[in-house]
Amino acid sequence: MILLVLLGTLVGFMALGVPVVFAFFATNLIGAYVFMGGENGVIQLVRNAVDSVQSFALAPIPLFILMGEIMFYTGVAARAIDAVDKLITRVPGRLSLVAITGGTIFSSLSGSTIANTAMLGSTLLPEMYRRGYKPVIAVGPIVAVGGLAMLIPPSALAVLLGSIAQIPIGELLIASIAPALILAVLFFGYVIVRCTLDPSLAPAYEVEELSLRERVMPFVKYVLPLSGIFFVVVGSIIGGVATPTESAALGAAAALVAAALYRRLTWENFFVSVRQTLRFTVMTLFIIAGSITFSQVMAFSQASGGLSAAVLGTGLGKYELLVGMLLILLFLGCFMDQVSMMMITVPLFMPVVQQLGLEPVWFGVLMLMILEISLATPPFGLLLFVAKGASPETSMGEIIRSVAPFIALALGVVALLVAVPELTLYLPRLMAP
Amino acid sequence: MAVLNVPQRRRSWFDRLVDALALVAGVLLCVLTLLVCFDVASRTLRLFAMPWTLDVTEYMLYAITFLAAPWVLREQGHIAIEIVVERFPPGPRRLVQRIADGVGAMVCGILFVFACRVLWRSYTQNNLVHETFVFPEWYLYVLAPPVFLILTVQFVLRAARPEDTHALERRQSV
Repeated sequence: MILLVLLGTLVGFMALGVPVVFAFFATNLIGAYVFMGGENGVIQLVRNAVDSVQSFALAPIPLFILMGEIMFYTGVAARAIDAVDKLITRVPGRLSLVAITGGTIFSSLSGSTIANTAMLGSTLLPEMYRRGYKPVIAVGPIVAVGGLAMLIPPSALAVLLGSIAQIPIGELLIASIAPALILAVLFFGYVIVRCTLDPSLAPAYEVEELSLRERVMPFVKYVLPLSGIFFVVVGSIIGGVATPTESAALGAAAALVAAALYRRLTWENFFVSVRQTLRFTVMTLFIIAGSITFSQVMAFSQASGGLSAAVLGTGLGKYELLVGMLLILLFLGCFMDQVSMMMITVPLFMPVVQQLGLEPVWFGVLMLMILEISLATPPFGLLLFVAKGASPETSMGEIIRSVAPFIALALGVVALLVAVPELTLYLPRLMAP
Repeated sequence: MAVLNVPQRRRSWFDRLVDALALVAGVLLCVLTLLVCFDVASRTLRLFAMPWTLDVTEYMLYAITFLAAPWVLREQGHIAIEIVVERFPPGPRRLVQRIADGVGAMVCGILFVFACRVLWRSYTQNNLVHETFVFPEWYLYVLAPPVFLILTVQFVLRAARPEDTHALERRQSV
């Protein structure tokens, strides 16, 4: 009952249009006053807000975002997409495949799903429409692959999840790679099958005749060197050379050096990159400051313990409860942003996960998968709006229809990961102790 | 700084203050990146030890978050769920937005008062932080009160605006 009142208050403030961080602050003010000893509870809330963001574990968030923004605003990422564009030739749904390949590559350089989707949308969508691609095969892959940035390291939200759920961040980052690649391959296959069955979706056109050298060299020049950045970030974590924060700083520095070497770095695009990084970082970290007391209010009011006991007392099996938690996340994702979803559900779910004896890294990846899917679920899927911004002439209905098959594929992968945990846990086990 | 422009409004001293705080946060963000890179490099190359990096990074994260929070609010960067409000006709929508801004102002006002109390209590108790550096604990709480006060003013300004500029500013700032 207490849980419902607290959640109802929070959702009520959010529905009113109060920015989610202040909706959390408002709910926590009430909760702290009622359940944590009146004014002393509120004083504790303020102390928590200040202390919560003083965490070295959160430092990769701005750094991973900065990496992606530098790649995006300096145009280095767009050049890489262009190189992929030259490499892929006569295949059904060619430009959609370029989007998926390019988006996957950019995901390995960027921690921001928004930058990924915006970049693909602005560089490829106009060309797709010019070539007569139907929205159903043009927008869907861009939104779907845009979300991969949340899974493939560097991932800012994986860092956040690891930090608040007490899951080893390095392991979580590495464990997300295989599921993301499975998703990318499935998206790729889906586009080929769909466009083969119905060629009118993506009319074939004459691709500029280029020699093998002309096709391959841009890839060698503009994509392969960038993959070095990915290996610096991931390799240093797997090899135990650097912590996630240190690998993120190296990644950001490498992104700057790459942009400078390609002669694309200017003061202007550097400032814009920092500005956008600041904006997203502060938005995320301030939500942590505002919502950190939520878990304490839950604990003091015995709501989280009560819920945990009630859930475990239902007699449902491990997998039923797991699926139940994932379905709740999926439902919340239709209305809420990813950070809020984490801050609400982690304090409730993690005790259950521990009681059930589920592997936390595995659960973390499943949670990230659902968070990634919920970026594209209507009515509040953030990437739907980013795609709409990149292509105002496409109706929201068309965007949603185009994204639906990709959501179904992603849900299929979630089911696969639930059935075969080894797919998720194999890579982290290779990490140096 | 062109990238911190406020759309469609004359820049007041308050806007300049918010910009200045964000600028400091941006500089700190760059310093943070460089600092962690130097730390990794110096450790790997065994040049010199920088054991204070961890603590300083943590303080910087806090400063960045709090210093830039008012700027992010002004730029409509704090995520808000507007699907319900957007379905209202213009008149009632503006009213609901004003109520939401009023809630924000009240919340930040209360937080301002309690942040002052936290600061005062820490100052009078003379607690010390014992990390790499030893310093009075109240240093850590000195940012929160002015930031919550600025956020309160920001919400009041938003509520006082005659027209619905939320959506417009959001579009311009994305």
